[in-house]
Amino acid sequence: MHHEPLRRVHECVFGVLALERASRWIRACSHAKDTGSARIVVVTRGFMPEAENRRDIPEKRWAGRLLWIAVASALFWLVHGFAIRSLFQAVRHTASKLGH
Amino acid sequence: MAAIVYLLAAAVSAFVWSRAALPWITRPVRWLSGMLIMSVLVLLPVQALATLELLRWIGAIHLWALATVPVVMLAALLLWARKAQKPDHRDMERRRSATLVSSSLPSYLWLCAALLTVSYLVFAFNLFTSYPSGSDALTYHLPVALHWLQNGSLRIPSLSAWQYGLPGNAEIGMMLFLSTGHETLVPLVNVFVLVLFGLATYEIAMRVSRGNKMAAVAVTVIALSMPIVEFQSFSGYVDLFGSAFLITAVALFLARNDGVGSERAKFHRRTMLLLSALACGVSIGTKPVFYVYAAVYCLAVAITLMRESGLFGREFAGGMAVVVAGVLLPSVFWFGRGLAATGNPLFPMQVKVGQRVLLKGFAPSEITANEFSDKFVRQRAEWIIYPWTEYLRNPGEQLIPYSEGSGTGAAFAAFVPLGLLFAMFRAGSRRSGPTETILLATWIGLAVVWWTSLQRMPRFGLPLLAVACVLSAPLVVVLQEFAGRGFAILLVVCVVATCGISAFVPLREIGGRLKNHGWSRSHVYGYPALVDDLPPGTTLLNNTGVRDANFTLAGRKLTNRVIADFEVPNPITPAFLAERHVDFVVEAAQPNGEKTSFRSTAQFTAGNQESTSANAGGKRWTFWTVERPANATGNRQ
Repeated sequence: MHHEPLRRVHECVFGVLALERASRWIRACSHAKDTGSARIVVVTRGFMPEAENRRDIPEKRWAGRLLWIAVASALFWLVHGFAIRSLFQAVRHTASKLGH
Repeated sequence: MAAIVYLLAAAVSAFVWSRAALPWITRPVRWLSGMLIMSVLVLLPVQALATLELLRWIGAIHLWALATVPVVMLAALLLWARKAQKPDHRDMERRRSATLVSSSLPSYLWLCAALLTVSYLVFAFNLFTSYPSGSDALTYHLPVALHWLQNGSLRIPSLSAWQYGLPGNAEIGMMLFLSTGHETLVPLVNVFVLVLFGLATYEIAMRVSRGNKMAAVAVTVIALSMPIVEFQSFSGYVDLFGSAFLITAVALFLARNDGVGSERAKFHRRTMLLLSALACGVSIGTKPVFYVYAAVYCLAVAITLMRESGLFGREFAGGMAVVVAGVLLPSVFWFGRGLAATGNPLFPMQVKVGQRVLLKGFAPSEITANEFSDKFVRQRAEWIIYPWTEYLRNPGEQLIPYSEGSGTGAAFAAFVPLGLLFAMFRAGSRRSGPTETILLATWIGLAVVWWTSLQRMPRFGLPLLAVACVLSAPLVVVLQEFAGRGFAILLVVCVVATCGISAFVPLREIGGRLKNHGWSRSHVYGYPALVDDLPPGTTLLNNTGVRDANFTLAGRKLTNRVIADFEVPNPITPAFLAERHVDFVVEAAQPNGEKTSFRSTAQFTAGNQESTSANAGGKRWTFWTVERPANATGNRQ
């Protein structure tokens, strides 16, 4: 009963359910004897062609670079933006008022 | 009390209906549907009674009469729900299969959710120990709602003031909360739509990320961390209200085919189409800004239905009929009201082709000046880096550049612009799904419209900000899958920074009140306490130059009638004072004696009028008593 959904899970790669998480979920379904739902979910939520093997997908290679760009973006906000600067200014202002 | 009964009956009716009639949908969509139906059940009876009042079939809107409508509806619904068919077995299985993917969330998302909750609770505490705030809210949103409540009518009282001509679905909710006598409850309208905003963002993100719950939750966290959303949630502004219903319309439209395969698939599809259109209609009835978004929504819906069923099919005609009916139901009242008062259904908006004015009204630049948005950037080219700069020319006493109208936050700056670029790359390399591609194309088109036609106000682009967050879901998926730890740390740091800066504003206000023991309404708003002791029904004309006084002069019990500064002529004439039954003309001056108002009172104060003066809020307030002519009657509207 479980072969079909499990095969699909192995084909299910990036974008939807991580392999381990999907397998865990299928196991939970099979404990509950609910393989029908398992099949529906695996098929509707993330079937991807075999060609996009988890090891080969370009997104995996880009992830590190994308994260560094996100970090740089956050740093630019921190350094160039007015929000943090104005927070320090407001804290100083409030502290000086409390001092009086 | 009547308003509470009214709201509760509408809420229970909506819950009963959505549970009984929509068995196939997932929990977030059911909540969205239920909350939307509740809103429609609240709005439509008020609009129906207001229409009868406009036609002079009834004298005024009475809240207890209003409360009977949803109560009767609730009784009928309960009877119907008992007799209704039990849900189709396949429907239940489908719903179960969709909701079972509830893999537990990682701890960093729980941490982000907790941080957001704490930050929102600080805002809530500040509100419930104080009074509603926000410049536009006090200047006209709340005064309009109070005017409707005091007069029992949604009529446009003055054609010279665009503020009274704006559609007001959000103000109807405010009016109901004002009727409880606890004005602090008014922003609950926005707290309600905040939930709608979050759910709709989550639901669309689930579809864009193809069911990745963690990515959808992360995207929702980013959207809810935007200061502009957080500040609006506890204010009397209406941009969040319109935006929440607009993106709810998109979320429900995307859910229209969830019932396919069921025995009642056609009914399911039509129901979701109707709900989606109703949400768009509520948005249209909020503010003219949403006319533009709604037009794009209707166009996208028509093209999609045409592609699904063909231009000349009965399915297309039926679907479009449902959409048109749904869009008009919660919004047609406002067009009818404008038409009846001025002959222009779009009033207060002017209709102009080239240089020729077809229908009289106000040009958009008369309502919001073109230069107004320049306070958010030092030069217009800076708009492209606004998420990183968050510049505000005059941040006021708080010194923080976050407010109801500005600020997108660190999480947005870190992930969303990059997410948009990633989405564009995916669309260009044909990796994205149809939902993602269409949303992206629409987003780009609407961004151009926002720049050219919506005065580049950040809050007018709130739906665009929400969709931008949703479009960054594929990026979030990649980061979560392949750079999970770094993504988690960065997201938490960004949420901490943004929530910390946002929450500083209410914390400072709470601290200020604790230090000064300024808990009374007159102290918080900075007006003389004698206003609170005036006899109920006293009419005050606001000539103080203090725009907030349009609302604050109503007093602690909201029993004073205020002639708002935007409807006062210049000069103020005795004839105007007599016509509006004014008891006091209120003026204010700086400590150096310089008056803060611009309207001349020379004709009125030439005689020996009595006056009372008091100091409050750093100003000297003068209350000029208006002598009534001997033949004047007390026949007030």
